[in-house]
Amino acid sequence: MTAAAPAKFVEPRYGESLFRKSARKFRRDRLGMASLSIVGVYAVIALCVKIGLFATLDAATTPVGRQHVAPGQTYQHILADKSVEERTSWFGTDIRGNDVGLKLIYSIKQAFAIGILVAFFSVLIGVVLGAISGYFGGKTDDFLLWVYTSMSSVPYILWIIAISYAFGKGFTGVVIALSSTFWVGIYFNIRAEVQRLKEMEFVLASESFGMGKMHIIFRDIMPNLTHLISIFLSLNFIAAIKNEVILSFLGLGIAGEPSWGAMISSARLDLLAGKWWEVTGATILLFILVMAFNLFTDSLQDAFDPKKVG
Amino acid sequence: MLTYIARKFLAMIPTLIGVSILVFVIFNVVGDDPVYLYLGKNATVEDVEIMRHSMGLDKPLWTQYLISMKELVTFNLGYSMSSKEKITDMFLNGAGPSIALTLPALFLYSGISIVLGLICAYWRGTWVDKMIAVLATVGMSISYVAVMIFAQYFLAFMPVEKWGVEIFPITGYENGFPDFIPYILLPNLITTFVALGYNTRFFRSIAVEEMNRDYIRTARAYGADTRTILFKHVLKNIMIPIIARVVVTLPFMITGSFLLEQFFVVPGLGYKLLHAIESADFKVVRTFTMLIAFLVVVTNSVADILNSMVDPRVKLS
Repeated sequence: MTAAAPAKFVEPRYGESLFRKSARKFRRDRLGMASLSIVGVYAVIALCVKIGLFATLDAATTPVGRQHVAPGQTYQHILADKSVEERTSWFGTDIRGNDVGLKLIYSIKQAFAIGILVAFFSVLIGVVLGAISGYFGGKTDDFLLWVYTSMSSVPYILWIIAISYAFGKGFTGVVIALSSTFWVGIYFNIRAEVQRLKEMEFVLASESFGMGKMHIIFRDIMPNLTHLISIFLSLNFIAAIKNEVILSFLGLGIAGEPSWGAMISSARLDLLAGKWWEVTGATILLFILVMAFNLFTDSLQDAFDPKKVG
Repeated sequence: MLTYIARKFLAMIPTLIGVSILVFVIFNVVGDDPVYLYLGKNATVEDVEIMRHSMGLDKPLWTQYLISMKELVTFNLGYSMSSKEKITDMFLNGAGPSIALTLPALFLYSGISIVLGLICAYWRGTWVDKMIAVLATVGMSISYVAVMIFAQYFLAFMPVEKWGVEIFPITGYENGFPDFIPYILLPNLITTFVALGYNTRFFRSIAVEEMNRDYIRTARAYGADTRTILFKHVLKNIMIPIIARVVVTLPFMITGSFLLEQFFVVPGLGYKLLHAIESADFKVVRTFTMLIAFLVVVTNSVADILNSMVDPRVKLS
């Protein structure tokens, strides 16, 4: 993190891998650890929702009382047997009478689902194509580079809109649209790095042992890219959940299920009527997660950077 | 120089062809049948056939591609399916508001973030530097959509509602020179706010990196003070990444204008494109995507040429 005070010098240990040294460096970074634990809390909640411990889709989309109950107010809660009970709503209810708190928690799972899938697929495509392009060069490289230049010449929002227009709305459409646009930057970086690495002696050694090309790319070169890959995973996770909000706002997001994007864009008219809780809740939860992830990525970058002493 | 410019423009051709093929594949091969999307569920078989024929979709794919290319090259783009407007006119009318909504912000936030970046480099490691870095990360983490919603509420809606003062118009747009100005103020403010975080962080890191170079130490040894170093040497040297950065953010501005136009109901390119998506106006969507992409490719090449003028190291041959 750029703003953090320089930590104490981390002595390199004999025979220690870059990854282990970085992990040690990272553990000393207080801001990094704090942000990682915030991300961890979110992840645990997402996992609990996923396995159905609380805030299931059913619970989040069943009206609990009348619409637009302000946070802290009491309302008539409808029980399963149609009897009525007085309850306090901590996070208010939305326009359909659904509990905003439950929707917010359910959305954490949505954000993680989109973030993880998009990060995984986009990094996978970018790394595989980048490695192939960088290692083989020649015609393959020319072709992939041409695809890269064409795709990166178009504002990515246009691709996303075009692709989600083609694949339809909903969860799968969002994941396909985001993954198939986010790989381009990764491809270019990995390609450059592989071009550099393949000139190194260890690759030459492997080649002279008669190792196959796939072995060299994936077993010899790839381990040297782990630091880049983990940073890209983290950056694309952030980009994915931020763009889910944008897609929802443009009417191309996940339809039918609650998500922060859907909550922010559907409740924006409620705000003008003074019903501030749904937009605000979703904005704050999203902000905390993205902020923590940004700080975490910064610390990760610092930890992997051998030039930084801290 | 002229040969360099000519080469740059020639190099655009494969990219433009690539863009057009990708757009064509997405819309004509992967996408849902535009005829069904447009006519809806209650269309008869004859309707579908007539529509398909009139759109030229019954021809082989490569013929369709060549036809769409011919339309683009001759700038004879046909008419919108839903509003029956000429697509060329739609595009030209939409470009003005889109530019007015974001271009002033580009200059504003680039200027502010360069100054902030230099401030950070000047007071490196002090609380000023740390504060700006933290605020930049905070700014980066707020959702664009949320910024729009809350800015409209607190700066445009609430003043009218609570105190009866109009600071900014809530939504809308008017054509014509002095009339449009009030409508573009708030959108430009929002763009500036959202872009400031990313850009300040970027300019800070390049300014700080530049300050660590050997020639700076030499300059210091000669007795130059920090201010001279900052403005005479650092700013000149970071001009190249600054120009590159501004070009990189151009597509980002188009994203911004999409959101802003939709939110503030401004009839720009993004608004029209999204409207066309909603009414399944296949032809407008494809043509607009292609034209915007072409504009970006051309802008990128122009930026490369600008860069070659600033940077003596760029080889012209």
